[in-house]
Amino acid sequence: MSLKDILSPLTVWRRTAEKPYTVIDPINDRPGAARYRGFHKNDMEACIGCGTCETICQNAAIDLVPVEGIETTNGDSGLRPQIDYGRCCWCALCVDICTTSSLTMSNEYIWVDTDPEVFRFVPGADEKPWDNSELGYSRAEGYQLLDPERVEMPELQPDTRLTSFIEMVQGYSAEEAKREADRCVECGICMAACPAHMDIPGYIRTIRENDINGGLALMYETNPFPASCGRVCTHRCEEVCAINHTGDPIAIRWLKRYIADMADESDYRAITKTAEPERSEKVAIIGAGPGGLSAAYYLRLLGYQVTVFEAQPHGGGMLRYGIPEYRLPYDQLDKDIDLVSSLGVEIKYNSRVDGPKENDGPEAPGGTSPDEAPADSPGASGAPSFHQLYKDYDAVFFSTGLPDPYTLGIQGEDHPRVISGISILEDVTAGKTPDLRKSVAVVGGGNVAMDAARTARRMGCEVTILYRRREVDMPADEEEITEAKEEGVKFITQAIPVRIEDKPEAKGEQAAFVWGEAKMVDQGEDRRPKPVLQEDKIHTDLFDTVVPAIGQGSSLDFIPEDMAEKIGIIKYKIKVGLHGETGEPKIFAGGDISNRLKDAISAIADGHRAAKGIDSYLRESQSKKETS
Amino acid sequence: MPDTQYSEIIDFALKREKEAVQFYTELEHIAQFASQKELLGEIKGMEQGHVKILENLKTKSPEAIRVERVPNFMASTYLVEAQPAKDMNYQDILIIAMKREDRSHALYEELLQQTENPELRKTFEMLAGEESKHKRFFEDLYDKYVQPDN
Repeated sequence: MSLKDILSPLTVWRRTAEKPYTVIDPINDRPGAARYRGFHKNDMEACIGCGTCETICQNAAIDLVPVEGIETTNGDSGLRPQIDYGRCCWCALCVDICTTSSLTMSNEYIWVDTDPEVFRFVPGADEKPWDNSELGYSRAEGYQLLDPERVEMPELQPDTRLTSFIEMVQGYSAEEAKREADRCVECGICMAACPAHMDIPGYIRTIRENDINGGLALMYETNPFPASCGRVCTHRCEEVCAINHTGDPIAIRWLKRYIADMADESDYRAITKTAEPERSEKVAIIGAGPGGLSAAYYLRLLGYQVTVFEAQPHGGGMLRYGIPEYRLPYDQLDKDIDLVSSLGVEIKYNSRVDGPKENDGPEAPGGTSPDEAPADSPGASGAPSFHQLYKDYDAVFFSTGLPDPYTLGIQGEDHPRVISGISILEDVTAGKTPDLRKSVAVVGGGNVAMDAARTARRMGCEVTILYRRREVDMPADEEEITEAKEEGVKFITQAIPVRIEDKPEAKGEQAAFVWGEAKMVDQGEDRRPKPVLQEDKIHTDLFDTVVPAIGQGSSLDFIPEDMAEKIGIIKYKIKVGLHGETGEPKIFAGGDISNRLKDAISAIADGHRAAKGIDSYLRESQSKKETS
Repeated sequence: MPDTQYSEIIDFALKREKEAVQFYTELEHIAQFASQKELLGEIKGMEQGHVKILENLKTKSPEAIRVERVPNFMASTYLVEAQPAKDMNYQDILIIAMKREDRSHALYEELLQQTENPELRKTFEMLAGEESKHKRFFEDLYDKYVQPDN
């Protein structure tokens, strides 16, 4: 041992006289910079659990986890990001990509604990000292990793639109569709909101990957009406789109349309599934609308013998008879229907199923093909009764919609110049010209009212929409309202119909529409305000035609009384279970007659679920037969 | 107020409610379709409920009755009376129901105006309030299901 070895430890004591190298109270003495990327914060109310942070994290430091007190709702997965500080590198990509801007970082950087588990935490849920810190990193104003702006859809200009019934939305080009598809973060929040639970991120991905056929096949997994829904779907998915929180929602409907448009009809059969081996069971379906044909499609895929009975000369239901061609061209609807027929589904047009008939027997049901029957002769004789279908088929599904327009119910409504909105749309579909003349008043604020008004504009009429509530209360799609205005439809809101008079000078050629101004009475949250007539503010306007379009009801007259009680009818609606099952095991129902959403995509979803329900029922019946 | 008077008023109201039950029973017979019968049966059940409420009131003293009023939004005022028919639809049935409740409400309001007796007034007010609540119930159904787009 040298002398140095003996003296060296003593030299350490020299350090005691020096200033410390470490910071004794770093939080106060050396705070993080104002925009330091410190510990994470999350606004739990703003966060929707889209998981985009998890997807972008390069270190796999983020997991989406359930959190007590956060429920899954429409537009919120109910999950929240949990961050593992054993992996996090504080790059802040998660903050930059956050679709709701809920995720931020404090400028705190010191956290001492002996338990390593605590460093995996859920910001915002697990209380931390830095939760209310004002300083730290957040996405700067205007800085976006995501493109907040939707690719504009080319449309015909309003003055051009009014010259014909040509489709006004022209569709994306391949470049536009890809650009729009690139905006999707594939969070899947939209899937839960879609009544049919379509794999939206999946088919949008196929656009990016140039796999149109794959996209079409994916859409057909849950929706056999892609060309139609790609045009007129109520797109509930877009309302909850994660991008909608800080920008325009992804144009999901238009991307669906792009895929359907890009796939040629002749290729459809090759792309979509083929039916499973034939089964002997027969299923009757009443109504060739989106609900009925969806059930038909999925049942046929499962191998069942499916016959659809339709009262009208063509299929599509309200998609055809309630939506004008400028929104949904008939050839596009036919493209969807033809694929269903091509699988071997038999559709008997002009076959209105009736209530009880004398001599109900087991003879074959009647009906004609569209080509054999006159174009406007629904309900031709020879169609089977409900009883007969019940006897002749192994299961029955009905989805007959809401075909009967309600009237205004006011005095003078039997005036010859009053024509319902639905009948105008039906006439135009049937190739007839409704007798509208020049000035038209449309009463109502739903999509039928908008479609009737815009149809009338295309026929050269001056159109005024009168609605009892405010514009913000209108149930019509916002874009329909905007487009109606662009096309020159005049709006009078808070206008309550009082009566219709026949002015002597008009000689029955015009109707005097008497309406009163409404004051709105608040009904509390989540309820539309009540319009109350102000009897001292009454107006009278002369119109060539008054068009009520206030709502439609079901027509369940075909259900015989002895079966109705078993099936279950409540307030003119059919009571159904999750798979469309009614109180009568062999009978299933769906669409507008049973659901509350009353749109095509909900009817499609009902049809799909009912197909599964019918399949289970028939398989169970079969196995019972085999074991007995 | 002498008890007999109170009792007579309740008996009068009871008679009207029983008539309503009878009316909807007859409508059920007129109706042709199951959907009509189901709705009429439901309304009849409600009227039977009103009969029970009034029967219970008979056992209470007039002081114990509670008056509940709902605002009149006049939603059915300008609707044309629908006629009972075998092919009546949901709208027709609701209009029939609203108009009946409206007439009962008007009757009790009229009786209310014709008396100064505070206890009688309270009884008529209660009955008018009940009828306006029933009317409102049907008006809400009408608003929600018959004219959702208006």
